[in-house]
Amino acid sequence: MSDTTLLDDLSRDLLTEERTILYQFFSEIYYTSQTIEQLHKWKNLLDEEWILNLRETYPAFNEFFSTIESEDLSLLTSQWEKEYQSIFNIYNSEGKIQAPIWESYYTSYDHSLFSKSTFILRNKLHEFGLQYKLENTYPEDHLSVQLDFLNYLIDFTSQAMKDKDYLSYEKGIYNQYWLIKDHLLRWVPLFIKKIELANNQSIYYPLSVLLLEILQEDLDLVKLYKEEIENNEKLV
Amino acid sequence: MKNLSEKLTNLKMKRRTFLKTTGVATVPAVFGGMSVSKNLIEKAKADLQEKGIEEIVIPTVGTLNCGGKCQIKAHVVNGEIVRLSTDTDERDKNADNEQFPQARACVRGRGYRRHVYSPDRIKKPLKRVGKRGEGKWEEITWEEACKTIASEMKRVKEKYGPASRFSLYATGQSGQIGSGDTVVQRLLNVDGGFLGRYSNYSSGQHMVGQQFTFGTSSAANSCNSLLDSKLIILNGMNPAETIWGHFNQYLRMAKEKGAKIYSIDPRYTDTTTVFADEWIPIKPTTDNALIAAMAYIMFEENLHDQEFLDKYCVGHDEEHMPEGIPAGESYKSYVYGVKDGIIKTPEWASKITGIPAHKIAQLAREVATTKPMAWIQGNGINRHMNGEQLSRGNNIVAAMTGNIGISGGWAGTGANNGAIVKHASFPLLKNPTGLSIPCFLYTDAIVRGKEMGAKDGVKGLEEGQTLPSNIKLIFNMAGNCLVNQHSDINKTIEILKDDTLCEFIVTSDIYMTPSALYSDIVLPTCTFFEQDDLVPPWSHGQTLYLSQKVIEPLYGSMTEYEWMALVAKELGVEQEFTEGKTQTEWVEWMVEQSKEKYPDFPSMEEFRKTGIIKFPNVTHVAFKEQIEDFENNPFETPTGKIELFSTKMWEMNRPEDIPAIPKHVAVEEGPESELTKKYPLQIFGWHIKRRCHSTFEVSDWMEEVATQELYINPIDAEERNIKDGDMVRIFNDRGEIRIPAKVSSRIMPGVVTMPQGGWYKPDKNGIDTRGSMNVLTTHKASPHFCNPQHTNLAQVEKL
Repeated sequence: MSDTTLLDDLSRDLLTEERTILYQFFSEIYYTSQTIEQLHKWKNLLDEEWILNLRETYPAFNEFFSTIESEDLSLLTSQWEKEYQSIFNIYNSEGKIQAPIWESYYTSYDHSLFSKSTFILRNKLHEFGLQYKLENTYPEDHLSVQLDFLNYLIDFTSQAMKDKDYLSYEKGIYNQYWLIKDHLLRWVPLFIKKIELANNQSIYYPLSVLLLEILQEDLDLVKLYKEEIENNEKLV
Repeated sequence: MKNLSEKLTNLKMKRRTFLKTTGVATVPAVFGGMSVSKNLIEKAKADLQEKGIEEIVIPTVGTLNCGGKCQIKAHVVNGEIVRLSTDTDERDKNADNEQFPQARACVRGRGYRRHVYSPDRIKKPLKRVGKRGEGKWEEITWEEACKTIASEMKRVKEKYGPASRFSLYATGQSGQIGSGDTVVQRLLNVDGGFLGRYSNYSSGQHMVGQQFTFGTSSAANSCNSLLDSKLIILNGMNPAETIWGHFNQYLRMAKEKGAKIYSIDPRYTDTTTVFADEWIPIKPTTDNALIAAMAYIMFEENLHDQEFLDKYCVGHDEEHMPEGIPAGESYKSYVYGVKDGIIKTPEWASKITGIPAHKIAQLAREVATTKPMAWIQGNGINRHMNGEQLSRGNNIVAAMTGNIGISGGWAGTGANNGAIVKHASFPLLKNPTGLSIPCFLYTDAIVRGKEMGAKDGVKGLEEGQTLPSNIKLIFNMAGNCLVNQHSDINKTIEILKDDTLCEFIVTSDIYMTPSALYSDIVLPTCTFFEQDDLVPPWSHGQTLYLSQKVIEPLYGSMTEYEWMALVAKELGVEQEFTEGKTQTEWVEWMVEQSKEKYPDFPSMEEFRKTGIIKFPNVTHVAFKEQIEDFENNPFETPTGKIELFSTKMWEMNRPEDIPAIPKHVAVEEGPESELTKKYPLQIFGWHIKRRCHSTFEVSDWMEEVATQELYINPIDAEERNIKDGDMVRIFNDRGEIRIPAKVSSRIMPGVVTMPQGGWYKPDKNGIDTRGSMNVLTTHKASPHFCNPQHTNLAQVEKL
């Protein structure tokens, strides 16, 4: 590697760490509603300056973060549970999910689950020696699973870099690019529109908008890594 | 070119200060490696060799309560259904095989993939935590669900007795062991019994009517009989949308052979569009006026088959009446107005039915002089307040024209599938209570069960007794009759909301239906793709199917048999319930039993390959034996003859609503009712092709096929200043619906219609916004305790 043209290793590691934690956070919040313990964990990890920045950027986020900063998280837990179930589950007066949390709903021609994107993701997981714990009974293209996989790819890429394994590094970067661009950024905007239309959206709407912005930022980042590979800037 | 570092610096990355602490070393401590991710695990090395994208095709069957019961072939890749196809039987490749027509899927059958893979499926067992109907749930484990159900079964049985437990009429998943409705009856039977039920919501009046006339409720020929018909009258019969076995194929073949087809219906149905040479619109509930006037023409012009009537029937004229009946009670006397002074002329009938008099006379002559002639009623015509009488009207036409017991004719309603399709069944065992109620009266039995006796249709009681308890516990297995498909939804939910009345309701379903919403425990069940079963056909089907497990149960769902086995274990009756068999082993047992009894029946291995049995003998002519050898084969009626005058009905001594001959009975909410001054329009809900009853409501595919609209004739629309697409309110004393209007001459003036089966969706004022027909229907049953959901009056206004 040519150190003169590269982001230094420490900066890369920090970026990796931040990305990992961010996606872990989002993976968890879309996986299920949050318990008090989980909220305490996130509260302890979140940086005040970052939160302040977010609150200014997203006024709708204000209420959420002022609540999460408070000592008593039980109210937030209960609100979180209610909102999660009413938007992402059938526990509402309609008996229908207001914002399905699977890619295939948005990208298949018939809004069915277990469609093309499910199998694409399944095959990709298999390619990396992974599989969804609930394979065949729940679809793989759940947002939480996709974010977990993105995290895996970030970790995979980072390890490859440490091992100076160029081929794996390239594979990691290209697959991150593919997952963010061809999947997450393809359907998360549609998903957010559905959340926006839902009745109860004080937590998940701003969080999802934030996720989208982070994904867009991340695409820029990964694109740079990708260009670096393509321009042979990085490796000799 | 800028280097990467510079480029990164230019990125506005909001997350850069995300963490309070930094340092890569902390990351694994927080998250662990991917091997402990909540979602992902390492794939076993042995599995890493991909099997490749190999498609396998598994034949199975749609098991909804659909007339179609079509063959579904699931194309499966990597454990998932990627597409569906249907029967491609080479013998019928030209769609002309009179013995083995293909069992092809219609638009509903083709849409099953959307049904099974909808995001809206129930995915966890749920316990109600709010008020009934509020939609507040808590996810629970299967273990907790089964323990709760067993505990409530015990509590209710001990407190109120076994007859306080009820298995609701539910048809969302039909079949043998795959139908929760059958399995729960077995569970209740091994646990001391329950309050049983009889009749159904579809053809209850037909079953009663045909029983009185012929002594059996199966009076129809097989479909291939139509190939000998020269004239086919479809009276309230719409198989193009409802799909009745192979009815459509045979109608098409009959038409190709030259049969004329007329459709008598208030609505210009898809069947009328496709098959009919002529549409004769008629006001609902008035068909017997039409038939009486046709009989008048036949008597007057001596067109009727007097020889047939005299030999096989009682009640057609004064010379052929059962003993002890006073003069003037025969059908002919009725037609000539001997007692009421009204001669039932076409002019008389025209005012009642809306059919021009000359058309009635023309129809009478054509029906009487064209033989073989099949006058075929669908189920729509029986679902009326006078439905039993309308059903018997069919028999009058068939008898007067001598079209009973011959191929090409048609005696009455009720297919005798057992004459063609033969198999062993899942044993339900005997109900120790021996008690049953008409299924339509379940809400009555919740509120006043202890007052209900024989006069309310309760069976199994000693004379003078009433039920020992009101209904206190309900099993609703894949059913939407708890709320949506039962009548008077607003009144029904008032009853169900009060959990001191019915104390415990369990629903098993794949969607959160309006009925599931009013339950205490909701369980996610499996579709037919996720389980094995033996599946007989619906009315006029002539095939038997093997429903095969094509995919693993999604979301950890269980079949009713599986979770009821767990409940049985809690109750200490597991062995009695399961007899040591799994669901698949029961299916294998039924196949073995069938093969023992019917040697041509395939083995399980053979059956798995085809998934379908097409029986070679598809011919059945109802009452052929009686007509060909009457002396040795009397009808199973009190007189041994076709009872156009029913001695049993006469003994009921209710001449106004249960006349012994099929008179025209004007009903409370019919076109001659005083109530028309307030509610001038007749309204009924038809079975639309986009749904099977209320199933497929959530499918957006089917929404593209058809949506919920109120069909209103241009004449009625103009009177109300309603334009096509306008939002309208449809209302009567029982409730209100608001949906768009479809101004169309496909519905006759004075009658409006909307597709039945739309899911009840009230706004904050309780006004239905989807078009759930039963908001407007009544709890009051027909004289023989059946569902009269097509007999309603309402008003329509532009919003």
